[in-house]
Order: sequence, then C-alpha cells, then structure tokens
Amino acid sequence: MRRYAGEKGGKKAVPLSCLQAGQSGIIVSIRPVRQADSFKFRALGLIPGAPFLLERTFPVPALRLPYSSLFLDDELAAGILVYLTESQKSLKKGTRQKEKYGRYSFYSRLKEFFCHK
Amino acid sequence: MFPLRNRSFEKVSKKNEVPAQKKVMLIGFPNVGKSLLFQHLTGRYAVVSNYPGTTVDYSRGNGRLAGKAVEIIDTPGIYSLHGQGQDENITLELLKKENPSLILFVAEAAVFPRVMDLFVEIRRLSLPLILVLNMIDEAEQRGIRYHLPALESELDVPVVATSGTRRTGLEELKKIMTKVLFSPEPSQTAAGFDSKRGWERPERDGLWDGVLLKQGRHSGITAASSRAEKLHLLLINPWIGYPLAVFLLFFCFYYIMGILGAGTAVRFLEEKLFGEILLPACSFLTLKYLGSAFVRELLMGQFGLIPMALRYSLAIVLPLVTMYFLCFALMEDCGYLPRLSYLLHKPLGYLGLDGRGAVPLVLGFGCGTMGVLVTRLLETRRERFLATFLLSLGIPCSAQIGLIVGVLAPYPKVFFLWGFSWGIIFSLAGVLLNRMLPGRRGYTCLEFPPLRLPQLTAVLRKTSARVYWYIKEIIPFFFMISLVFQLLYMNGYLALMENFMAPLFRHLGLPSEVTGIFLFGFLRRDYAAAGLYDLVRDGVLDSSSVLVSALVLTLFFPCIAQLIIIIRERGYKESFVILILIALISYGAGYLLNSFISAVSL
Ligand SMILES: Nc1nc2c(ncn2[C@@H]2O[C@H](COP(=O)(O)OP(=O)(O)OP(=O)(O)O)[C@@H](O)[C@H]2O)c(=O)[nH]1
Ligand SMILES: [Mg+2]
Repeated sequence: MRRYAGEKGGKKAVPLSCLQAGQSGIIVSIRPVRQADSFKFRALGLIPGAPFLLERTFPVPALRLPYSSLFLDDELAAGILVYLTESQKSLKKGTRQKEKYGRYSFYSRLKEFFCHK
Repeated sequence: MFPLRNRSFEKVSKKNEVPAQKKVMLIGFPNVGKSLLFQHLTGRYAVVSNYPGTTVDYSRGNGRLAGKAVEIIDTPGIYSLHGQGQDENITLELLKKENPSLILFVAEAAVFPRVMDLFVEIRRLSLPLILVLNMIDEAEQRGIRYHLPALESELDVPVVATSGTRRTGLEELKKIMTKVLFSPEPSQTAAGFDSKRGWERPERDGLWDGVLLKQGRHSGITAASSRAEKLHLLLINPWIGYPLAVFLLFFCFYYIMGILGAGTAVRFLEEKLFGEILLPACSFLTLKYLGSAFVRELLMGQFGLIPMALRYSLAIVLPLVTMYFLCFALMEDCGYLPRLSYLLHKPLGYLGLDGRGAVPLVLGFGCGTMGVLVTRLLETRRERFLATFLLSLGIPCSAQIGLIVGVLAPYPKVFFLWGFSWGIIFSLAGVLLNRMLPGRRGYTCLEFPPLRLPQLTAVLRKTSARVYWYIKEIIPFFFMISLVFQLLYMNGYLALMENFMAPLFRHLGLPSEVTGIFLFGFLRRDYAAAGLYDLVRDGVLDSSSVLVSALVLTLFFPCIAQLIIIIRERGYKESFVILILIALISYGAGYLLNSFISAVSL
C-alpha cells in the first residue's frame, strides 16, 4: 500500500491530481517548488489549510479557493496533498463517478488503480 | 533574497532630500484596476483589460493635486516583492530607483484578505502609503461591506474605497493624496514603525472582527451559484469551450473580417472610393499640376504612393485591422481570454508555452507586431523566444488573413487544404523547436479573473488607441516600402531582382509574376497578400499555385515593422536565428506541398 507524506492519525491525504471534478476538501501540503513560485501560490491563496473545490480535472485541474479561482499544471497538482471533506470520504470508491455517469468509466478505474491502492 | 531592506531606502531618501516633483506609484496585484485609476488620475491612456498581466512596462503621467503637478507611475501588477518574473523585476527596480513620495496600494475590495502578505511587505518599506479598495461596486454587489475607519485604525494607513468603472471615490482619493503628499508632518506610516521588528503581520482572524461589516459569501467553498460563475463553468468545459473557440475564431475571421471587412468595407473603399473617385481625381490633378514626370511617377506609378501605399493602407488594411482590434478588445474585457488560456494550456504546452501564450498568439492574428510586443507577458526568455518565433512563422495578421480568406473563399477545397497544411507545419515546427531548445517550461498556476460585462466606452477607447498606434507605427512603413519599390522599379532593379529570384519560385511551381509579391513579402506580409489578391483577380494564378503561394506567404518572413520590433525585443542573435528558421521552413513547406500536389494531381 502506497503511503503519502500527509498521512497521519488515520486521515489520509491524497494528491489533488487523484480527485474527480466536483470534489472538495482542504489543502494539506504543497510540495516545494521554486521559491518564487511559492510566493505566488501564497498570494493566490493556495496555502495549506485553505478549503477548495475542484471544478474541473480535464484538460488541467481548475480550482476554486475562498478568494480566487485558478488552474494549474498536472505536475503541480500531483504535488499538492489534500484531505477530502468528511461527507465525501465516506463515499465508496467510484460511487460519485457511478452516480454521475451511470457506470464505471475506464478513466476513473484507471485513476483509482493509481491513487487509492 | 530580500532585496528591499528598509536600510537601502533610508540611504536613498537621504541622498535626494528635496525631490523636484512628488512621485506617486500605483502598486498592487495584477488586474485590480491600477491602469484604470491611472487613466482617471492623469487623463492619459493606459491599456486596461480583464486579465492579469496587461501592463508589462511602467508608464508615467502627470496629475494635478491642489494645483500642483505630481508624477503618477503605473506599474505592472505583482504578487510579491520577491517574485522573479519580469513584471516583478520592473516594479522592484522602479521602487528602488524612483523612491516615490507616496504609494497607492490598490486592492480588489471583494477579495481584500488575499493581499495582506504583499500589503505587509509594502508597508515595511516605510514609505507613505494609501490603501485603495478598488472595485468597491463589485464588493457591494456581493454583499461585502467594510467599516473604513476601523480598517484604517487596524492597518494604520489611510483607506479609500473607489470604483474605477463607476468613477466613485476618486475625489476623496485625491483629497487624501493631497493631504499625505503636502502635509508637513511626517506621514502616518513612518511614525510608529519599529525598524527592528518591522510590521507585525496582522492576525487574519482578529483583524476582520471589527472591519468587515457584512460578509456576503461564507469563506467555505460552495458550488457555483451566481450567473457569472455558472457561465465560467460552461466556458471552461471542454465540450462547450473548444467548439465555442472555433466558432468565435470562425465568426471573427470568416464573417466579420472576411465578409464584412474584406468583402463589404474593402470593396466599397477600394472599388468605389479609390477606384472611381480618388485615383482618377489624383491622376488628373497630378497630370495637370505636376511638371516633373519623376515626381508624378513616384506618386502615381505602379508602386506609387497613392495607388499603392495610400490605397492599400486606407482601403484594405485599416478596415480589417480595426475590425479585429474591436473583436479582440471585446474578448479581453469580458475575461474570455483566461478561459481560452485554460483550454489551450495543454496544447500550448507542447509548443513550450503555457496558457498565457494564447494572448500574444491570438492578438497576433490582428497584428503580429503588436503580438510580439505582448510576448513580454510571458515569464521566461525561452517562452518569449518561442512565442516570437511562432508569431513570425505562422500567425498571419488580420490584413493577411482577410485577404487570403477573400482569395481562397471561392475554392473551398483549396481553403481547407491551406488550413490543414498550415496547421501541420505550424505545430510541427513549434513542437520540434521546443524539443531542440534547451531548458523547459516552469510550472504554471494562473488565475481566472471574474467575468465582467465589457464597457462599451472602454472597448472603443482601447480599439481607437490601438488603431492610432497602428497608423502611427505601421502605416509609415507602407509609404517607405512603396517609395523604395517605385524607385527600384523605375531604375529597372526590380526586374533584375525578379529574374534573380524567379528560379527559386519555379521549384515551387509558381509563375514569375509571383516573385514580385514575395519581394513585397520581405517588407510587409499583408502587402504581399494584397498583391496576391490582385493576381487572382486578374486570373494569373490557377488554384494549385494559389494554394502554394498562400501557404508560403502565410509562413514567410514577418513584415519589416515586426522585424524591427523583434530585433528590439529579442536582440540581433535571436532575430537572426528566427529569420533563418523561417526562410528554411517556409520554402521547404512550399516545396513539399507543390510536390505533393503534382504527385496526386489535384
Ligand atoms: N467592476 C469594476 N471593474 C473594474 C474597476 N476598475 C477596473 N475594473 C476592471 O478591471 C479590469 C482590470 O483593470 P486594469 O486597470 O487593467 O487592471 P491593472 O491593475 O492595471 O492590471 P495589470 O496591468 O494586469 O496589473 C478591467 O477589465 C477593468 O474594466 C472597478 O472599480 N469596478
Ligand atoms: Mg495595468
């Protein structure tokens, strides 16, 4: 089983890139990039502790934060660890996707394979 | 790491104790309305659009406060004083160099908490400071209201609420600026500043208790509720966004520029105004009043100033460029471009650019020269080089597109093939160059500004400012080239050059008449396209040579105005590399296309 840096006390942090559109949660940590970038992230409100809503995942992730909305590279999203909000954590794997599209999509299965195992 | 320590500022301020003229700098996040405030304070035009990074260089203007002139400086928006982008560097350098007497810190009222870090950084400079809560109209619409006196005492700086679009709060701002600038007592910010500890960062939670009278949206994130947010979701949905982008492009180019511009306006201006009235009148007048045949030839000859320069610039190019600038200004002001950036972020990644690259490239469809100027909005030198290369290689400007579409419209198959081969060559060249160039693109995190209804006056003003720029900077080249060509033509050099170049074009399967057009192409691409238009009208070209020449013209050298700007922006070495690459690629593409056509004999 893969473990993540933000994992602690039973609550599991997952990379932002593994979420599906419409999921929300709280940012736990951001993998350090260039220092100049980290100043920009702060200014944009992309900071640990910030609540977020993932509006889209394709073509690239688009996020809504309390005071801004923005999009980022996939590579960046992979370095951002988040906690999902409680209500969504209790959902079974893939249920949301199933509810939405009526069946398991190949894409979501692929995602689960890499993210939740 | 921290280039702006307080000490360096103290030194500078001691050196020039009595500044000649008080300087006021507008500083703040990108896209908070600094340039619009600058317009209101100085009466000078500065480009205002609804995406971060509009202002790429500072601009100065003079304003009057209580009868005294003050210098006002508009700066590119910054997120932090420690950033490494070009905009940040410009603002930093400016802060160090100018030592302003007053900083207007502009912030977007509805999302003011975001700017606290930058605000604290700026306040550590211990320069007189006013906090301008701009866009107060939007904040009120969302139900957010501030208790300004409480905010003032919490932050210990004067606070003014303004709205640039509604023009409210400007008088009050001027009044406070006058007070801070011309009052004898030391400014509020300098007093009480503890130089060892600097300003404590105010506690976010505590700060808001007395200050925010009413907060509209709770800080928890809910699904999109307002109409603008829903529209935003639609625009960034690929299933809707991509077709919409294609439709808009098609609408802009085919309908507005191709039919309305190249069709109606050009036909009216060119055929009626010039063909039937101006040209006959001019030739009559010159015949009657100009004794010297030489001057008459210069004015009225085949490449003369009036039939060529004046007719092309006024009747053909100007209507198209104006139309495009109008469309682009609308797209800019409503905030569509950042959504387009989102959709194009991935594809542009293969070309070594990020989503922002969409802005210069799309603007390049209007005027490549202006596109090259706007590449400054990109972060790294590598990206700017790549964008400049792509603009020069493959983005035909509005005049050129209008005419090429006008020429090719009667042959849909040719038109399709042209678009197809253009797309392939453009992307192939971009991807390969990106691969070969050392280095790689940094990570991107870009903001969506809110969607706003464009203001008609702002759109018209921006369009007219750009058209004015075009007339001032680009049209003179038309006259210069026309003069050079007429002189070459009269001395017989043009024929010599054509003979010299003709074999080159024979390999592309093109008749020798085309050579002249390509010679034009060295100087102005749209000029050359207009020449193509003439040749097709006269029936010199068949459809396959129309296709080859349209493609090669599209890919060919940038016009001379663009070349000059490229050299200025990128330096001789990079410009030389760009030109060599373009020459090879455009010739190679023409050769391949011609061989392909003759092989399958379309
Ligand atoms: N609703 C509203 N919109 C405003 C106001 N002031 C400016 N805007 C809009 O905000 C957008 C940005 O304005 P700019 O003046 O270009 O912003 P800037 O701070 O100069 O931006 P950069 O040059 O990118 O740093 C434009 O679309 C303006 O029309 C305001 O008071 N209210
Ligand atoms: Mg600006």
